Amino acid sequence: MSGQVTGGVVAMKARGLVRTLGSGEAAVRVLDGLDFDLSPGKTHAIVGPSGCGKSTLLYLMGLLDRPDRGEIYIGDLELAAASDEVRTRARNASLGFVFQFHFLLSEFSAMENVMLPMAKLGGKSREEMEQRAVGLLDKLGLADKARRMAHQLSGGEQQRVAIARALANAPAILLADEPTGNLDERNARQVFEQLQGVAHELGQAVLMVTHNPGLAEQCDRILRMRDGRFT
Amino acid sequence: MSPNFQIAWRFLVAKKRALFMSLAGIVFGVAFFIVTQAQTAGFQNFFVQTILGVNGALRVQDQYQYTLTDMVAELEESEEVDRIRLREGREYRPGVHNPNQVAEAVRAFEEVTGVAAVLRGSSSISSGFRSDEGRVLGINLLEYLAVSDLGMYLRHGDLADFSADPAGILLGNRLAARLQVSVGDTVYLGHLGEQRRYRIAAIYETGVEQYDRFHYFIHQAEARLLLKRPDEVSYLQVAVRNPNNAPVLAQRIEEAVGHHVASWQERERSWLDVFRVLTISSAITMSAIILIAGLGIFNTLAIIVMERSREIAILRSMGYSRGDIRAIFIYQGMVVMVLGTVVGFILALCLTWGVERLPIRIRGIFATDSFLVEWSIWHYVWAAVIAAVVVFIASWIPARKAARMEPANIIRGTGA
Ligand SMILES: Nc1ncnc2c1ncn2[C@@H]1O[C@H](COP(=O)(O)OP(=O)(O)O)[C@@H](O)[C@H]1O
Ligand SMILES: [Mg+2]
Repeated sequence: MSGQVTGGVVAMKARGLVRTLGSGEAAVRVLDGLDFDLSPGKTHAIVGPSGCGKSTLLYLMGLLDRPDRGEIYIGDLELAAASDEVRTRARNASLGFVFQFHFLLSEFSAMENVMLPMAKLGGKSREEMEQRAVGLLDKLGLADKARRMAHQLSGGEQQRVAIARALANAPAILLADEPTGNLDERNARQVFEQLQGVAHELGQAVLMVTHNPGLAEQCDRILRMRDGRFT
Repeated sequence: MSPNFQIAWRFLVAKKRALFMSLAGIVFGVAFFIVTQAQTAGFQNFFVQTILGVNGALRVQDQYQYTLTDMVAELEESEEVDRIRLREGREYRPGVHNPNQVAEAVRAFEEVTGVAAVLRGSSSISSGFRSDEGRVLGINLLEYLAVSDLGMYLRHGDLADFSADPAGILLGNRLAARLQVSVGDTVYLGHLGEQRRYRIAAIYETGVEQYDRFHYFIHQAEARLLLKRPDEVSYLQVAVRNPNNAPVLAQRIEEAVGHHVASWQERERSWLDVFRVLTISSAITMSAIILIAGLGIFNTLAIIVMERSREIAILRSMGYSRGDIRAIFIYQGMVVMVLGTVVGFILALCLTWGVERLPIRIRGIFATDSFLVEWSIWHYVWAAVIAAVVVFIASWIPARKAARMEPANIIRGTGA
């Protein structure tokens, strides 16, 4: 069984991903040869028991970590073995990442947090960046809190700012590791719907790890994982 | 403002207290470095100025001849030569025996601004109260004023009086005090059993113990009579355009005129060494303050790197490179460095201004009644360079550590 889609456009694909963590006797083969494709405009859920390697997979896809073996493509560009420079640029331009914990920069306002990836990418004036940041926050229901400092926002609000930040450079792929794991049911649903909406409206490929079976069921595709493999 | 700098600034401002301590260290280190250098240089400059004002930049002294070629000549003239010293294969004959000719040759050098012949000898000096031994210097006043600051050092009396009176004498203030004499009084100089009478025209104070206590000036014609040396002089005192070049010029004149020529740097080497040691040791001590401030900065930045590791990971995940992360932490050091240096400069200016007005009485190698300072841009440049190097190293190490962190490891560590 694999997550490969036959035919159709592919936003990102992985082939034969192997990742071993730890060393010597403590070495664990966390990912054991994974293949899958992400389709644009679709939400993909990864579900599986704790410790089965979901986060490890997302870090590889997010180019935050390198596999021991295997390839990762965005379009035709292979990135698993690419230089740090190429991978950094790809993270900036093509990938958005949402973590379980928001990880906003607390001395920056919501709007400034959303502007950080844009400032790095360049090509926009300050006004354009501000406009886009406010627009994204508006879409996530935070228009009136754009100028609040990150630490003055509730957990759900912070997570939505993190989603706006992940979307800042209109990346082709959005990766989210238990984005709702830390939120109550109402906030979780709201955040999930926003991710779903982003994929369907903006055509992004969304890959989301979730423990919530109800939410997973609503995704376009579900990838079930156990012991470093899809089942 | 670049995003990296903006991030650096916010990280830093969030740590105001630790920042303030490091900043204070740099401020005081930079300021004290400058003030101590300004002082040491101030005293040294005044010492040099006094040396040049009293002894002149160069002295044309003993005549020399190369031993091998001049053996025979030496034998022929040996009755006239009273003392012969051998040095480095040269044979020295004390004094300058054809002063006019040699002075002419020295004046021919473009860098030379004045030449004065001085006849020096020992004599006794006595007043009605007491008697002493000292050095008599026979000078031609106008010539001598062109190569010294004697005029500036007068405390009582008048050089015009000295000029007008063939039996006039100029006396140092310490000797005058010992002999209990003042301007207008009579003193007697004695040499080889003969005594001559002089009238004190003026009393000077150079601050140089040697001069104020043991030397006195009379007209050269008088000195020839007193010392019974009708022709030669003891040395030529020479003033030059650029005293810093004196050693090179001394070498060239020495070769041209066949006399040993001593620069002030050569004559005052031991004092100049003392000043050099003071300059270096105070620079090291004050750099140590800057170094300690650097440790503080290192410590603060290392803490910021730890506290901000998740933020560093998230910045990396959104496309900030290792170089960006490094820059963020180096900028923080640079901010402390620039702020600290600027405030340190201002404090240094104030302190230097204040120190210059502190009273202190010094006699012996020069005379001053207050602290001496030199205002030099180089003290500021050096302080800034030392602060920059220290802060750069202090921020480079944490910056490199931050840049090397693996975002996946950091995020994994938080249980996501
Ligand atoms: N440094 C490590 N050394 C060895 N095993 C590790 C290390 N880090 C994580 N693991 C293991 O890797 C497995 C996968 O972890 P993770 O990807 O976080 O799982 P999930 O996100 O599915 O809960 C877990 O069994 C964990 O114990
Ligand atoms: Mg996980």
